[in-house]
Amino acid sequence: MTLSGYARPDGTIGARNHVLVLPSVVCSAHVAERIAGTDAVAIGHPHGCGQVGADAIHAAEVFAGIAAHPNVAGVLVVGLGCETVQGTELAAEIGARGQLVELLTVQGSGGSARTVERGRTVVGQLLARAASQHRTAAGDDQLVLGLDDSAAPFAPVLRDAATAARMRLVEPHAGTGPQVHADLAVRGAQVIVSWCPPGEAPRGFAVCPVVAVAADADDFAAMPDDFDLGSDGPLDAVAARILASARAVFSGEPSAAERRGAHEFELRRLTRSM
Amino acid sequence: MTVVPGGVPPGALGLGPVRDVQVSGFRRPDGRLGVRDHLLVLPARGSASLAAARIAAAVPGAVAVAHDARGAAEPEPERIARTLVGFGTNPNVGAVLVVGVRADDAWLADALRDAGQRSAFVALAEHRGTDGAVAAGAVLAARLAADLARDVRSPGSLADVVLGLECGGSDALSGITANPGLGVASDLLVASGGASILAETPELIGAEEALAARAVSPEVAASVRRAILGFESAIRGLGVDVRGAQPSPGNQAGGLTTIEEKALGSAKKGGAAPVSGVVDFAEQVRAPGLFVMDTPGHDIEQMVGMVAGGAQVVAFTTGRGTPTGSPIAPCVKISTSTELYDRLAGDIDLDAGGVLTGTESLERLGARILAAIADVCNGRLTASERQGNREFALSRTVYS
Repeated sequence: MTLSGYARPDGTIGARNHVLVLPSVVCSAHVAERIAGTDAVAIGHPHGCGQVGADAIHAAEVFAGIAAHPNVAGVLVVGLGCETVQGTELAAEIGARGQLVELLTVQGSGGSARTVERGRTVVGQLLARAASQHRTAAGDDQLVLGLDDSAAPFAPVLRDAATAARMRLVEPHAGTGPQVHADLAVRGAQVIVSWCPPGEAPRGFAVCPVVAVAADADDFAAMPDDFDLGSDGPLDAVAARILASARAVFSGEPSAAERRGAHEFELRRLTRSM
Repeated sequence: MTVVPGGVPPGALGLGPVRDVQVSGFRRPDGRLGVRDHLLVLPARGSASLAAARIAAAVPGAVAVAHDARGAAEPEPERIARTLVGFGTNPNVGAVLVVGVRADDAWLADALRDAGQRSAFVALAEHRGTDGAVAAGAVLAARLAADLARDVRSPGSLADVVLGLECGGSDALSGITANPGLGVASDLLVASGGASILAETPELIGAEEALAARAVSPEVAASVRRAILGFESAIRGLGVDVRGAQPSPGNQAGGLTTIEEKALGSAKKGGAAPVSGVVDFAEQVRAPGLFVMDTPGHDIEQMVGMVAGGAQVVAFTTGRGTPTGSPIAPCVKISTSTELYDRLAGDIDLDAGGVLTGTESLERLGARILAAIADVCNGRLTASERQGNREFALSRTVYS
């Protein structure tokens, strides 16, 4: 099957063409949300301050990684000015990775209201630029799938099927579920396959479409609108359905999470806040 | 941590109660006074946060929080439950719609009801998922909003007020202008029968002996030391250098050199009152006096802890400037300098810079801060309320 996506200068292909408004710290998250409105994607998160050591480094790496992601057409970083994960350093890192990036800080722009006003102008320009980009044909070998739980029963079959299709499949080094969606995106996943444990509802992710697979048949029956797939039937059939859904979603079909507006973001924390 | 009950020894402050400041609010069944009457849409777990946000957006006057609580996979269920129940029963909340995934998430609505709160519950799994739950939840929320519309303010007093003390984005002036001014206001509140909460434990490292010396009993003094030194050793146990985050890059740019310098300035928010008790994160403060609450320095985690502990209003000093506020408790922002107040006018409520230029004494600043807190309690909107700020974060001590 032929896919379509947004060709990036580094040779990767984007499944989406999002304009991201990325707060470097919780203190500027509300301003970022006001700037983004409904056309851009704001990353809402309570992090970026009071983090130390490996936890702070991981946060900065995740923020830069999702901003430079192939599903993202351009980024506005909104800093506060005094945070641990400095907006200026973050924007520089995103730019160094070849992404189109702009920066505003609340303290440097004269407060919330002025930052929102200036930010909306910047985002308008980023959206106009994104709108001028179009999908081109791509192959399976350019699709990177993320799987958020290596213990999913279909995982071994999915690995084989992905290999046979010359797709890359990335799996978490630590953690499972929505917490690792950002880690998977940082490692290149353009579409995330989420294995939703019994009793839980599926989550979307900020920059990647999620194909949500219900572990539990009762959950799938009770929340059919929120899942993309159930997991009944032979494992090879489940894996085939997942790959078919991932291909369709990659090329532009909205996933269930996208239909309900779930552009959620969780950061896997390593240590407590200071 | 053991909760140490409060109370202020008579005459301990050498200040009489403030009699010319009026406070009104919504008297709750448990006797506490709400200074706002919010309809809160509260997810029981992270996967219900989107539905909660969409319900609040559909119902005028409703406010939602978003968080990442993990249900059965939660590493600290007791701390998270205490935070959510405390937040939902803050007297500023008139009613709560809990949004869950399955019926077992109704535990949160039940806990709120058992604590005397009006609550309702909607579950994604009973409505085919998010879209259906949003439609059903909006109907329930509209009914609660109609109930709240009948609530009326009645007279209260400063003795009803629990004030959360906070500083964020500190600079070298924090310990000279805004923090000691807020300390005077806190002392006046305590002398009037109210309560203040001094928190952000890592920003008290270095001030533990000064605070312990003001404790009302040896037990409280021991609790003060245990909380502050315990946080410090927990940080060391992680193998990280607290100086990586404290003072923060912005603090250093603002002229603060060491964590001890920051701590001694930070502790001034608590004035000179005796330390009446020590409580753990999000534990209830239900007695008069100055309390120490064991929270992170992270501005939002700290604010959530104090508000979940019962604070109806927060006074927040800032040297670098920050726009944050709470979804349910007004946050009075106080700048350490007039330069900052002018530059970030739309985000700041009060200017403490007059202390530096000699146009205002700390005593007059403290009285002005207390009067502003009372005004805000009586309904005046703060800068962060006008900007729509409603930050929320869960605080955990372990992450797996």
